Amino acid sequence: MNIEILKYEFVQNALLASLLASIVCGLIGPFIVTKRLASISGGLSHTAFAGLGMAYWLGINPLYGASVVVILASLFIGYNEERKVDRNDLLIGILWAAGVAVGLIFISLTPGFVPDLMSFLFGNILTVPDSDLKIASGLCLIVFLSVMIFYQGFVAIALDEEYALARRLPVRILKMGLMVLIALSIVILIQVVGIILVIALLTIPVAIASELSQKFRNIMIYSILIGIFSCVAGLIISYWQELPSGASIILAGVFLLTLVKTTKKLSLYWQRKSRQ
Amino acid sequence: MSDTPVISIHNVSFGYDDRPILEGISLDIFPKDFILVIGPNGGGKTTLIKLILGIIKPWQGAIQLDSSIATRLGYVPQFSNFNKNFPISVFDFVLMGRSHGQNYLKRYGREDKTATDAILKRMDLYDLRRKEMNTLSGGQVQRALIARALVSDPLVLFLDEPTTSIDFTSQISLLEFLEDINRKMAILVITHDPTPFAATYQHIACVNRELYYHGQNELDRHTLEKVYGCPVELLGHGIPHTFLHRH
Repeated sequence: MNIEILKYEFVQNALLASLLASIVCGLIGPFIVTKRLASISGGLSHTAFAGLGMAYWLGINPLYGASVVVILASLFIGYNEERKVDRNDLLIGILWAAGVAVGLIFISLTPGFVPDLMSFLFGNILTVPDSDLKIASGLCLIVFLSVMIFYQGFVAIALDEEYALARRLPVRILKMGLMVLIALSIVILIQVVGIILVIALLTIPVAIASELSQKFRNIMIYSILIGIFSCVAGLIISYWQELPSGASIILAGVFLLTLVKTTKKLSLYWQRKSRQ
Repeated sequence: MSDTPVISIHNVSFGYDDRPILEGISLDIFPKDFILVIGPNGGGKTTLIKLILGIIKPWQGAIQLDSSIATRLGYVPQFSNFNKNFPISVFDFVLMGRSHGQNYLKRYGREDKTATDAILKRMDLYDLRRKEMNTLSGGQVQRALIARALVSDPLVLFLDEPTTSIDFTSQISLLEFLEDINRKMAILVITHDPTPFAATYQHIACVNRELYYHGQNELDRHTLEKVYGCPVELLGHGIPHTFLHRH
């Protein structure tokens, strides 16, 4: 491969965005998978569409709109789970659809053509501007520091919430905090793979890492590395074959997952066969 | 037994939605007490210890803990409660018993790890310490749950149905073990089958929405009938296997 392409700024930006996305995937994804928050995360990411539409209508940076709405929605879901106002799966379904609906209404109200709507839905890592990268870097730092500081607390609520309560841990604050961190991660990931594919990047690297290790800390580290691999592989495919980058990244991940699972199954099969 | 209770529950009521589960509960737990909590299913036994542990908050009434004790309550839940989906080794699982509301932001220190090793050896889990929690047998999980509770050096230990999931020989050794640690801490056991504890307990609390409290040898047929809402056969202490029968 030609090293020349690395000198283009858009390629550098794409690589930095991949790195940021992979870090948050690795830090937050394992909590989403073990605590079964995947559908919550899917719902949250779709609420971003509402923020996006409003931001277009107001004429401000769509990323700001998306961030505000996703964070508010995460607090709302967290609050609902605490108070048991409504069934959470019901609420998530409604937020999911309502987010998209509100976004569509605002976009239709906005005069003129909305240029990069597709890139928000499906991501376009090759067009991430400097200003958005700065925001993403800041958010990534917040996620990183929070997970470092509250690691024990997050593990405690993911493993056994009741026991954490009995040990007088601030479970409610930790749960809310985790929801907000998921929201921040989603904002970063939307730029890379888009609203619709966010949930894949939060779960696929973790699914692969879980095949390779049984240790939570290792799963985090492997997920980051696998995320980087998927992003870079997807980026290369998308650059050379002129395919959509978000889709290429996800499919690179799915391919790796299939490969790892098949290899593991086959090696188990051979082990059993050689023992007979 | 000293005269000041470590935990004092006064006139506590609790329920889910509008349905009361417990009403007007009062109970004192003294240092090195051994309390059996019995009563019919759905009578509120587990709810009672969840209230004491602070997992749920009472509708009304007060639960007073000695200030030294809030971080030194050990809890052995019925073992289906933790997330088996979460990858964690036996060592790390037990180690987590060391963290509480005041220290959870700090990393575990050498003291925490030494205490964990010691309790793992005592619970005969040391050789399994690197194994995943979800690969353990029922009895091993039970011992890991007890280890996690004991590693915090508790002053009061709560056990929810500790005898249901283990076989008989394990039951005997669990009883000997509880008698041994009872020299250092108060123990409160929820059980639907008080028979094995007949020779060990000091007080018995029958819970069925209300709480009836008795010292040893004070439990009479009248109270049990009130608690269970049906006639029960009651036999004397000291003959463990026929101590108490539900019909």
